[in-house]
Amino acid sequence: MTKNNIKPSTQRGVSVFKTISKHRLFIPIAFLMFLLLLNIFIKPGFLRISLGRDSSGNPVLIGNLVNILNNATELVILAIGMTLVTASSKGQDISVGSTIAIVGGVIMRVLCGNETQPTELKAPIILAFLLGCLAGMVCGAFNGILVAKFKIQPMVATLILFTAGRSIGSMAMGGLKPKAVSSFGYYGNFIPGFPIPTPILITILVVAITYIALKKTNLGLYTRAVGINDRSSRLNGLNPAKIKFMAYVIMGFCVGIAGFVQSSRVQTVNPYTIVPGIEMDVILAVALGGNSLGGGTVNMAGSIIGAYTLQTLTSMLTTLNVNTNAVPVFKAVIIILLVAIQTPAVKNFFSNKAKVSKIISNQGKESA
Amino acid sequence: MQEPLLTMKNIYKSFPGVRALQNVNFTLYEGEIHALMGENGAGKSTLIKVLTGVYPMDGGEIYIKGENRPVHIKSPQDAHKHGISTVYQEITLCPNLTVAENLFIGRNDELLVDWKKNNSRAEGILEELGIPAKPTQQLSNCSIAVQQMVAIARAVDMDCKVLILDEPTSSLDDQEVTKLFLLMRELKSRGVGIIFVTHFLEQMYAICDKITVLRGGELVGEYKVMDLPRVELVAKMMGKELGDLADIHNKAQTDNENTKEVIIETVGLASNSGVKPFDFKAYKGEVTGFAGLLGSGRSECVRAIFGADKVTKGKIKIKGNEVNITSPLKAMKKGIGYLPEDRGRDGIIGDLSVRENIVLALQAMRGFFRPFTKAQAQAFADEYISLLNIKTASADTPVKSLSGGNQQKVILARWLLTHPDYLILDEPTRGIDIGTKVEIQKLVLRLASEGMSVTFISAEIEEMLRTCSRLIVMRDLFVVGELEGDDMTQDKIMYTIAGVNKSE
Amino acid sequence: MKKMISLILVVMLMLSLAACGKDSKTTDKKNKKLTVGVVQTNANESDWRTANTNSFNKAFDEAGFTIKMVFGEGDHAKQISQAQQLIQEEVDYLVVLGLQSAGWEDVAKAAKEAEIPFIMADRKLDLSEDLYTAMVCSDFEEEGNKAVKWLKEQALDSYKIVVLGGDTGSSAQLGRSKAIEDGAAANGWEIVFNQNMKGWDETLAKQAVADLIAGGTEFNVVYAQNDNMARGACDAMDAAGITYGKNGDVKVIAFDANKWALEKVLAGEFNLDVECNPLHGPRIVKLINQLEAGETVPKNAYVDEEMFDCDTITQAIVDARSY
Repeated sequence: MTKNNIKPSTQRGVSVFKTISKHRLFIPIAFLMFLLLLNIFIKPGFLRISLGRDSSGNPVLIGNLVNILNNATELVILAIGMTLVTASSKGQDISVGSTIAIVGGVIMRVLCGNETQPTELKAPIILAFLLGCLAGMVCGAFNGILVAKFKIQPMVATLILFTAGRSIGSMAMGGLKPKAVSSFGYYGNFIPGFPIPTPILITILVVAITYIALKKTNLGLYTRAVGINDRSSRLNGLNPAKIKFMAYVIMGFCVGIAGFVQSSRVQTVNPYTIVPGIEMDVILAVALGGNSLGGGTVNMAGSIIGAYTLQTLTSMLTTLNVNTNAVPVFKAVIIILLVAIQTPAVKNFFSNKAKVSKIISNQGKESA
Repeated sequence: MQEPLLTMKNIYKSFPGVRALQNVNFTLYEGEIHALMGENGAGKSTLIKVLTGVYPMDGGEIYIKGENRPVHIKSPQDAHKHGISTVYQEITLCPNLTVAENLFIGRNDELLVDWKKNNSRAEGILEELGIPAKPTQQLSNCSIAVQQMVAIARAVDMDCKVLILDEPTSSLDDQEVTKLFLLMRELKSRGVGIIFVTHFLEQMYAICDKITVLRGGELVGEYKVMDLPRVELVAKMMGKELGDLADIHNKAQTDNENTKEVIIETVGLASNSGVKPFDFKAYKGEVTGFAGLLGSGRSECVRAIFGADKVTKGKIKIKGNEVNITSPLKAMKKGIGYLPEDRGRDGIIGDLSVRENIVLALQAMRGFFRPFTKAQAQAFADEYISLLNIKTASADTPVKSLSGGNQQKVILARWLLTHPDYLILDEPTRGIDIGTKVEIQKLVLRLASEGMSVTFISAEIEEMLRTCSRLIVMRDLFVVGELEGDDMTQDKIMYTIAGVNKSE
Repeated sequence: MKKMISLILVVMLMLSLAACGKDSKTTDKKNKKLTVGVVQTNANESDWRTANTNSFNKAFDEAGFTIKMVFGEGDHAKQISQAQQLIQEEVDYLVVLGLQSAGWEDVAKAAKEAEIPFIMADRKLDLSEDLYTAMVCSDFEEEGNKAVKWLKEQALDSYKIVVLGGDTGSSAQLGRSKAIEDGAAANGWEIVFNQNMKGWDETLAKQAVADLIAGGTEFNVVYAQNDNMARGACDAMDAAGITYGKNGDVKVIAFDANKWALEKVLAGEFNLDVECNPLHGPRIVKLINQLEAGETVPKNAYVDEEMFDCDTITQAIVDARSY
């Protein structure tokens, strides 16, 4: 009796493992875990989180994990928007870094007016935030019109703002380089007395909203349908142009939030150097999450995990003090590995291996 | 007896959850045209993909004349090396290159190419095979038939011994088919063995020497064409005797007696697709059809009604009220459903699951902010999967991995789920097996008897004669006639299309 | 659509050709107004750069030169093509402020062939002496050496240095990094972190230092290669409750000496700021005037640069700063 009971349960165990390993999030999560374990192996205190105090005596959480969660904020938020853009328009928005410069420029101008070192905020922060988001959404709408209405390739359409965005950001600031008062810094750092970095809370909020939006609306289904086959989607009553446009506006909104957090981090914005090269990291995060860059997949959780994976990698290369010239190489090698294990060719190779080993083990059992 | 050109022995192939091929044997001799027949999902495509190295086989052996040992074909390139070439239904050449470039591209490793020499060589090949194309002509400027012939010429010029033609005729008209057959006979006389996959029984009987029938991944048998009359072939393919077809027509006749409530009416409707203003009425419980040659405007008419093309002129009335249909969504909300002609491009959304494909249209009508829960969607999917007998591993399977007929059923399910008053089916039976065809025709009649108004378009006139109670006949984007009752005969339709006996 | 685009392209091409035609007319030597082409790095990358650009505009304007300033905006290849373009437009002098120090040989050769004097400003480029006419640069290695000398004078018990480098491959980064690396090797100091931040970015510097603190890396010197990165590092230390500056545990060294940074030195937040003088305009004007007069000019001139120590800086020095 007992003997009979054991057998199905082990079989079930095997099949559970099989379903897990087949799950589309398996590789992204496994890789993130691998990176974290590697970090712990190299630096045993990597996961340690301690409660410290900042120079004003406020309690703050300190630890690599906190830093990763904190610093990945912009990447995570942008990856959410980029996932939708990629899925619906079969291409990427490469202007996100430049539009963050525009958003940052607008926010700084609203908060600081025409002074370089204002002693107080010239406008409520909420107004700056809303105008920043509006600027981001206007940029998104501009890209969206080019892609959805004029059917220009996303990469080409967004190249316009990619090229011009940082200069526009500088113009928005009136050529000044102001630094806002430190109370603006609460959103990119800590709210005094609360030990968790505010960006982590903002990330949680944005992820929650995204989750609800995907659950409570047809955002996911529509973007995928349009990305896979927009002719057919139209004949099913969808409006592909509208859906693509919407994806770009949502991307713009994400840029608005990310720009707000980013400019709050040091309370100043340098449009020419803010978030250098982030667009490629965002696209990479989307790809790492198992989304097809050719459109049609919305693996939101994957993109978010991809963003955290990249931030973990960055953080790791810093704490390990990797030679500065070797950093890009290091990053490239790890990314190649990560992308390679997700390709069908490699997957098949491993599944075949697994089959063979299973057959061998089965034979072993039989002979025993 | 001579040695066979190709022998496939005891071939096995399975996919997760499906045994696609089980112990299948196939033999092909030199100068033989051998038809591979079977319903969708019978294993024809799988067998061909195994032969051409697209799929690795799980078991079995393949022998090719002149090679002593069983060959191991790892890839389509490998298949080429063994002299096996395939021409698919969809043209796989490069439309933006010239005919000559398409003939020779990618075939040698030389860095420098003498295009002058190639062009004159191409001219020779084209002439020899009687293909009406110039070497320097851009491929996209040739008709589909010529493109197909160029694809065949390319294969032949690459010294192929075995030529596989996978549904080559489904987008050709009769004249083009005749030309293709001439070419096939020419190749046959040169000793090429041809495997011909088709759904068209007449064509198969016109050209083939032998038939191999598959059903459910198993071999039914190999027959000489003369020994196997049509009815028997169909029976073998379906695995049962076929008495159903005869019944259908009678039923359609009785449906004619329905109460005559007008569901939809167009007055001088025209669209930017070029279709000329046409008047059309569809009654409750009636099956109407649009007949005409390819490109005569059949699809364009129904696309205009559905709002798929931009309406430029005219009015649409639904149940007597004038409506303004500017997009498919508006048409859907007015109770119109449309199964499009091109299943792959306009119908399925390949990477979405069967479930998502089924609920998509209803979901679009319901609105962005009111998604179905997964349980609701699953319930809909389950209902229609069993109702239409859709063969799929599960509702989560991507629709693109289903066979053609089952994909078509998914799209049908999608529209039935919206419970339309007026359902347009544009070529619902194209490229699908005879069993499913019958099922779909029966379904159409049942829907009509339940009060739905259906428009059924098919390239096969007999199909329309069986199912429709009224036919709109089209020529060159004009409606040239309307046939009803006893007038609905093949001859009458031909005359109307040809403009000899203009009724009205 | 395609036709439209190609039409637009053609029109644009024609317009740009027409514009070129106009340009070459203005360079007619007869009216004697000198045209100076300036290849600047970025329009507005930092306060320092703004001051630098303004210095050119102001000085050239006063000297009566026509200035043609182009901006590379972070793109090294773009800068090179811009320089080539200026040479084709036959400017009288070409002043280059390179984003990267390598890769300028072809431009310098082309200028030499066109007999356009080639002047390097701000950052030294990798060119042999026969290829350029003059150089007015900051000596970044010397700046770094000053900081190293100062650091040695502090006589700390131990030296654990965090180096926050600028854009990899820029001459400022190369010079300043070499100085501290050599200095550390010579004095037996430990460099616990040495990486370059993309775009001299404040936020990246802040995040890097926060990561170091979280990872338990101990340090008592921050050698930040510009003011902004120093500020980012201070932010990160603030957040972790680490003291720095005049009375703190960590010595902060910054470069460039913008006015706001000098205020931080005065406030004791930065220990040292080494100046990098952006006011190149007047020097280049003087140089060009000398060349026009046929005088010989010094091949390599370095601008004078000071450093500001938190112990010696005064309010007057801060007030005197214009940028």
